[in-house]
Amino acid sequence: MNTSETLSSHSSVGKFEWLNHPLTRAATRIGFEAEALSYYLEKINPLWSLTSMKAQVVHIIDETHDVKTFVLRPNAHWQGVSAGQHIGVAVEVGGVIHKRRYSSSKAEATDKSTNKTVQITVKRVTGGVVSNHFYNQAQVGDVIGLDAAEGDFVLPDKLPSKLLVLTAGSGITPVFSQVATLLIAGYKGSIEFVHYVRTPEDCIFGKQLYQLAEQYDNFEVQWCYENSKSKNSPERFSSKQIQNRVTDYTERHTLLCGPAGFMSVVRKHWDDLGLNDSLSFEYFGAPPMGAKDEVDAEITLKTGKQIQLRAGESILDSLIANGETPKYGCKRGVCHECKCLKTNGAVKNLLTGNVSDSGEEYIQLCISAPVTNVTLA
Amino acid sequence: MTKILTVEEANQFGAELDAVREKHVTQLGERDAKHIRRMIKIQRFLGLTGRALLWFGFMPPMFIVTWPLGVLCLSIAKIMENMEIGHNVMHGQYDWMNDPKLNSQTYDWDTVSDSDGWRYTHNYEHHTYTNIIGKDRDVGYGVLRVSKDQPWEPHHLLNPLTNVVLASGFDVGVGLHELELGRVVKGEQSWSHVAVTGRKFLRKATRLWGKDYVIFPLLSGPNFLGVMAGNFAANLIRNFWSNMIIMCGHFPGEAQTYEYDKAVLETETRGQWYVRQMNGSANIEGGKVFHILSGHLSHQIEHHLFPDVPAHRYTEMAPAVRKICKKYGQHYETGRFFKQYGSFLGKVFKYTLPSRKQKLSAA
Repeated sequence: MNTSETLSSHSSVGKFEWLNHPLTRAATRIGFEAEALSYYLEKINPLWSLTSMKAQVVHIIDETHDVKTFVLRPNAHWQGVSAGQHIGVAVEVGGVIHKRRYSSSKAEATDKSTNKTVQITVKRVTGGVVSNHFYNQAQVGDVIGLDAAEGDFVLPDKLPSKLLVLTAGSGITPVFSQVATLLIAGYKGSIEFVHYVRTPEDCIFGKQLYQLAEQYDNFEVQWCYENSKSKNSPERFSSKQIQNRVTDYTERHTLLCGPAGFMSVVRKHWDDLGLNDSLSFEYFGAPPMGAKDEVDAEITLKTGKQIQLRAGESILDSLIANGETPKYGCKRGVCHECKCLKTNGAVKNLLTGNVSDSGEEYIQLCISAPVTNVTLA
Repeated sequence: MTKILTVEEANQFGAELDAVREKHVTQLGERDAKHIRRMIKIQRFLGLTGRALLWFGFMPPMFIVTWPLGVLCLSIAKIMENMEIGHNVMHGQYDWMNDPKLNSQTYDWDTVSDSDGWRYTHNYEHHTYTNIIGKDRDVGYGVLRVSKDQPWEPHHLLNPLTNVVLASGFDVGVGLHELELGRVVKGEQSWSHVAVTGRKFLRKATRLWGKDYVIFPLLSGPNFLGVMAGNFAANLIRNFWSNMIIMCGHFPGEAQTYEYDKAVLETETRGQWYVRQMNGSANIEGGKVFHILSGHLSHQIEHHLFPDVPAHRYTEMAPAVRKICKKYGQHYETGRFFKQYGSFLGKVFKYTLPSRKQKLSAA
């Protein structure tokens, strides 16, 4: 069973389907401009865009001392999301549009009326432009940009009879959404939810999980506090620890999500047990920040091809040296002909020494050198 | 006269200009975003007002007021879109905003030139090889003779007439410029290039002309002819205005042209590139509104030094640039509009006839 087909009812509203109508396309060819019309409509209501996916913040929930949940009402371009997928958001900070992806943190209800909203949960990251904007500036009524839901961290095709969920830190968000969706949809199997978190104060969705456990007999939740300063003795993942918490854990299909360090420990244990097939996982955590030095790195092109980049050499030079044929002009940062859309990674501007944002943005290949691995679209 | 700089001096000159650039690039933010959005807002509402005035002005007594007013609004909207918004956005001046609607690679401006082709010939060819005869086809746009270094051809006898024709059909001129017909005749460019770019030009022209001369007139019903004539007048005004501003950019006064030397060009440093840009460009003095209506091409010198810095900053950068030019003995060509355009027109007349040196060599 695939969650994207059966468990979540997509809230696809086809209001703007006429934009793709052959008559509209013909009109576009002879001068009809949706973009211009959209401009005036957006002046009346920012959500009435004919061309862009947008959403309005309708509700803000304080989760913990550094985590907030934002309930968003998307406009008619929104195509829906499945539990476990992530949603692209775009906010403007200091004149610059920053793009990030956050997991959908909503329990997909079967009730159609609540499906008109989507929900993301944002943890404030020190130095993070977007998370701090959300945490400090975002207000109910704000309109932000949206990008379609993506991601294939969905439940296995054939839903197992027993599930184990292992999450750490903010890795809880996509899995919380999946588990809540399953329970609401009437899943009858047993679910053991084990969440590793620093202190009780850092626990996201604690109350909601507790309520779900009260409401559904087949659902158990356990919190493990990793910080030794907390009241209980510190508790980290180990084979013995998980055996104590969930005795039949090897018989369960496991969903895993959290920071890289936590996940590698868990994955190694499952590998040792020879149970790789019964483990679904997704990496989660803040993108690498603070990288400043030019390094040898790898670039992934639109075609999926990967090419080695040399530290301090422009990406354009490396690509040409590797027999690629990118579009370019002046090779000195003047003409912008070599501009490409970077979807991931950070680069250093060789003229100014500035290090770019790690999110999605256009870069000039001829004056950009990698500081992390880079992906182009 | 401008001083000839050694490589070392040119590099120092360049380093000082880089510092000016750096100062402004690090400041990019809210203020620049506000500026371009404000320009778009004014442009959109002038356009809407202009079209509305033309539409509804079908009653004879009102017509006398609404038609000229409509034409005025619409032509200013077109001028702003082409110059302060389109040209500057397509230079990548606002790419740092990461706004898909203001992205140099995807923006499509409201003129018959195909955006992709224009970006290549303008941003790359013209801005990299500025005023190098044979490399920069914007020197006289392949039809006018504006420098003694351009070889004389008999059709240059019609220079003044060519100038008027080019100015009135400037949008078409810039669009057809992409076809590189001159190079095709010389065998430097293929006919298939003409076919490909020609098709793009026709597609875009059909769309824009279809809008101005068929769709909008039809929508207005009884005022079909009034709207059509109004749109034509607005396009014509836009053409003359943009042509006059652009001709003031590289040809008046002491603005230099250069001879093509592959070896020199290949070893050119960033500093030397700055020197060439500086000496090949000319400014026009004026107020804030004038600068906006010229898309800040009235600061052609600053634009050629810093083509991807938001143009509204050129006014602030100019004093620093002038000071650096003075320090290095570089001539800073500037003057009021009538002086600069007059100087260009003078050259248009002067170079109808072969220059003396070439007469001798021809003999």
